Amino acid sequence: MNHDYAVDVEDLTKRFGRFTAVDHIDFSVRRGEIFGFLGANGAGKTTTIRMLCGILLPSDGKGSVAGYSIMTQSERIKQVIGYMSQRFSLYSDLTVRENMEFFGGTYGLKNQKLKNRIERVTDLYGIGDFLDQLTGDIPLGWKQRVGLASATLHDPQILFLDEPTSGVDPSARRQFWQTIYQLARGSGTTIFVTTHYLEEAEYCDRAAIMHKGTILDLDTPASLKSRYSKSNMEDVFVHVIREHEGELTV
Amino acid sequence: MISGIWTIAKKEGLHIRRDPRSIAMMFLLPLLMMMLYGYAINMDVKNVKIGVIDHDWSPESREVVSRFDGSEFFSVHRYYPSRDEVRKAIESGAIKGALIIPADFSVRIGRGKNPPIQAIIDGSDSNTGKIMQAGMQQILGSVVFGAGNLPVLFTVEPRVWYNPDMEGVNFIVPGLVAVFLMMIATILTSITIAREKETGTMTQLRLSPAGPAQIIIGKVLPYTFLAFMVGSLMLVFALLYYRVPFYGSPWLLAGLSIAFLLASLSIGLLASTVANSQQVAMAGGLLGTMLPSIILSGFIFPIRSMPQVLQWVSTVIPAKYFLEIIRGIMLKDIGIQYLLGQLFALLLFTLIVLAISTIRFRRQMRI
Repeated sequence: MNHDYAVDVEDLTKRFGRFTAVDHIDFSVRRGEIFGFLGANGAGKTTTIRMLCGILLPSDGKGSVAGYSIMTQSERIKQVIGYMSQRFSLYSDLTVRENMEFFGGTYGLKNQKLKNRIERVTDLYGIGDFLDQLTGDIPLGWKQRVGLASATLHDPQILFLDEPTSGVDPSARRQFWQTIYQLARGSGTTIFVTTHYLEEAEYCDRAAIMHKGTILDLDTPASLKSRYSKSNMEDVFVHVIREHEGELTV
Repeated sequence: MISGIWTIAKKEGLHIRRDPRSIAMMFLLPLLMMMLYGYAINMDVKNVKIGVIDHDWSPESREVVSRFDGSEFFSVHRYYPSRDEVRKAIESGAIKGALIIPADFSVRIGRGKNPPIQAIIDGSDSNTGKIMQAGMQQILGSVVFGAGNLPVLFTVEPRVWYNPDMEGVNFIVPGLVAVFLMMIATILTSITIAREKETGTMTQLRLSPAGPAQIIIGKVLPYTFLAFMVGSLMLVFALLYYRVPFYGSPWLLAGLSIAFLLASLSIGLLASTVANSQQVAMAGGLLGTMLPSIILSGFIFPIRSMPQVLQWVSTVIPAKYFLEIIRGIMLKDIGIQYLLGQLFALLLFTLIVLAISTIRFRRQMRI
């Protein structure tokens, strides 16, 4: 395993009974990179993320996250990653501050250190107005930022974002991506993001196109576009999928 | 480890605080049920109305009647002139029985002989009837005439141990405490985990470094504490309102009730590994604990009079053992040496159920 990589997987496979959700995929993510996973719902994106985060055991293959094996060192991995999902997963009956205190606490942050970290992310994401409101009562776009704040409290090396902008309006999405950008460029956090908004691939350093459990192509958005001579990622995506399905039917 | 548990317990405390209606329910429902059950399942016979036909009309006969009227069991409704009138009164339900005092009652007493008193009991309510019979014998046995030189006329003198007034409440109320403790502990535990699965926060929790043991212990602690508080409140209520006696050691009861709570909580955990929604957890918890705890534990129906199969089933119901513990300590003041068997059964039960749920939980944590 190469330790320069934040994520490095080989032949990663997950079968649920007779259904293969992730089918022998290989890829690596450099430290500090924004890495996108593009694909329709059911392509295997979330299953891959779950295996990388150590809450789902792979059926086959191997992989490392932050240098730790996803098969045997999931407890170490959990310490150094952050995760935010499409399903908003903070406690809606707790205030924003209480949520952050709780999740910070699970990472062993406490007292002054916890306070400082909360202050820092509050400033960074501009969520000061919502700190003492119940999380269930704040607008969705802001919830997303609060989720991000909570997921980065413990300064994770790698941040996994599973469809983070799902259901958020375009302007809030743009803002969200600017924040992600700052995070990656500013503090060197590796970002691993899945999305089905294909135009968001433009924000990624590299993007993988996932389809039915396999990775069909993986490159920078610029070279993907030039290789398939398309003007945007959406056309690239459609072309790649069509080509693949064509190969299968011919 | 400890601080991880504390973090989760604190968060669980916040959930509880944000939901005052549920807390109110948790404390009020048991009290309400206690009021209802205490009266509804009251199998005591008190102030049963009886009639009297007094053919003698002597100071002695009046003394006997006033003993009956003054007792807790009976109240004398009225005097009747004849058997026919008594029959009509019993048929109409006005009275449940009657005493018939013969004309020569005082004369026979004067001669130092046993005068017969006839008692008529409405046998259609067999439970009440039996208790009336026993009550009559008890009262008649206590009536002594003559100037102190022992002509005890009625020698039948039943003596009841431990629950001398044979108060059903003393028997029922500790049972209610057991049933409620079990219900609260089981249902709360299963709901708190099912809720996190339902809202998706369980995924976030699993992604945090908090391990399964920390999550479970942290979640269970606040509810154990709550269940303990509810149980104490029920006991205080029982002592003050129903005047249920408490002869034994409260500390011993507190200690053994922890074993019982652990058993209940482990059932809740098992239920939560099966249920993915709060409704299922709730329904499963109710069915799985309340019914068997009420019907098969000996709470109301004596285990020894159940069919053999049900007697076997009752041995895996934790409430059965706790009932023996709480009734034994409260009513009989028995010590730990008589309760080791029950303690062992509860711990064994907890261990087995906890092992099954941990295996299931682990498997779910990393499918």
